[in-house]
Amino acid sequence: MLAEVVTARSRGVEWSEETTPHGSIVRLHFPPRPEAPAMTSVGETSPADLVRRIRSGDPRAEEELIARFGEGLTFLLRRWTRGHSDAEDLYQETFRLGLEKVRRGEVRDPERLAGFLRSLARNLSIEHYRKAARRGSREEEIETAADVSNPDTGQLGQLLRKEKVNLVRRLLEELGSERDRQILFRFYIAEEDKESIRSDLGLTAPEFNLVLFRARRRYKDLYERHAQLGTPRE
Amino acid sequence: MDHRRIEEQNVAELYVTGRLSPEDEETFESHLLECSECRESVGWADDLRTSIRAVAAEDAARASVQLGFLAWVSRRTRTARAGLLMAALLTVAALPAWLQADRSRLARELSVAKAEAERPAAPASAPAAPATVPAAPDTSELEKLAEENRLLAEQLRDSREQLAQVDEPQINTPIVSLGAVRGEDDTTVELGPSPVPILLSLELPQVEYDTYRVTLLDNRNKTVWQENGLEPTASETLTILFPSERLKAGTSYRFHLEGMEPGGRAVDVGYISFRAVKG
Repeated sequence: MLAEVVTARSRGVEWSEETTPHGSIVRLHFPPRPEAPAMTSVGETSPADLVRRIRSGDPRAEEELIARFGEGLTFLLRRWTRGHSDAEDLYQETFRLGLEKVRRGEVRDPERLAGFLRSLARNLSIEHYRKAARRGSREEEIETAADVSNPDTGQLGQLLRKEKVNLVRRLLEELGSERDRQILFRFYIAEEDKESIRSDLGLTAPEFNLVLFRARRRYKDLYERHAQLGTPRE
Repeated sequence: MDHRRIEEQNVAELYVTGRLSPEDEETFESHLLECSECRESVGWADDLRTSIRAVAAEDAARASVQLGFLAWVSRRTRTARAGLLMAALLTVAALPAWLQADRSRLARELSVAKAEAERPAAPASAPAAPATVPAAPDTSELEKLAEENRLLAEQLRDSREQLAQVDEPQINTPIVSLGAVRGEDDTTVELGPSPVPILLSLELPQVEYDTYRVTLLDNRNKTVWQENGLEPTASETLTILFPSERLKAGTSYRFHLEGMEPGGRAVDVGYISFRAVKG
């Protein structure tokens, strides 16, 4: 009897279910993580120069500002709002208000333009949630939020998380020593102070940092290899 | 902020676990605005942190079920139950590490005590040691600590032995991560034919309070469960091991999250919905 294979794709994640005489096997084809673009070039225009050009009414400088900080701002807002749709509104509001302030010359230290935008976005986020909490409308906002672009939600998201958990189990098995496992557990779960972990295990700062660094790199390698092979779910 | 320092000091890891000082966090976030390389590092560090915590939560839930711990816990008072459940999680997830830490601490204290003991006695006429000089550790205290350490090790060994005696593996222990961010459908919580604990991990929105009040409401707005004074972890989550028998299949539920201000006023923070279904 031939196996029946059903393939589906949802929210950018492809998976297939193979029905065999012995049961079904679900294979999750991980989406490759987007290649990291080259580091943003910051050498072409200094922040102070950008501020000066915006103040002098150069519309291209405003576009440059958005191109330069837009992706990073989205990243931070998504973290602060946990990917909530509010991030989009806050993004617009940050640039609107930020550009107004730059035009009016309200940026005290133009060289610290990134810090200025970050503080502005942070304050707007906090104020947004304070207002929402006072209005009691948070429930409504959350109820209507539907971030379909986030693959970590819903049943498929749960399946994806399970796969990642399996990768971490493999990573923990691969770690060379019990000491390294302890470091990861105490750092990420018990949330112990880094210095006390180091002192207890008799590690130097570079030794400790190397374990964390290698763990992250190995996890990334495992994920990327898994994404290429589409390892079957156990 | 230079990349060498960021890599060498694992700034991404410190950032995602909330260990950076407010000043360093501000500096790093300003750097993230322009640096895609560091944004990628933060993404991986966050992913690893979430997955490691999920592994620990899975193991804790499985061990709790297999040890029959919940049957006993369910007979305790509500407050005691919450404390015991947290203790169970910590025991399974972090006890080996803590035992090791305790052992190291004891070894250090013992070596200090030995050094003190081997030091020649001061002449009778010598002036008294100033009050700022630390006293040698009390040996009875050390013995007590060593005994506690031994008992903990025994408890851990017993737990492992009991786990090893379970013939059939426990599969599909329900673990549900609930957050304010949702997809098109409510997250569902599957209820099995027999009562089992469900590990609920609540992601708190980015509003910071020292403690929270969490109320579980059913679809008629009736309070199913409420607990005050819950302290979030550094990663702003609350983990609750919840008995499935307190949920009804086919019913929608909401967690109402309230931040507690210093004056005792409860501030609405948000709601997290899920639906209980028959597994």
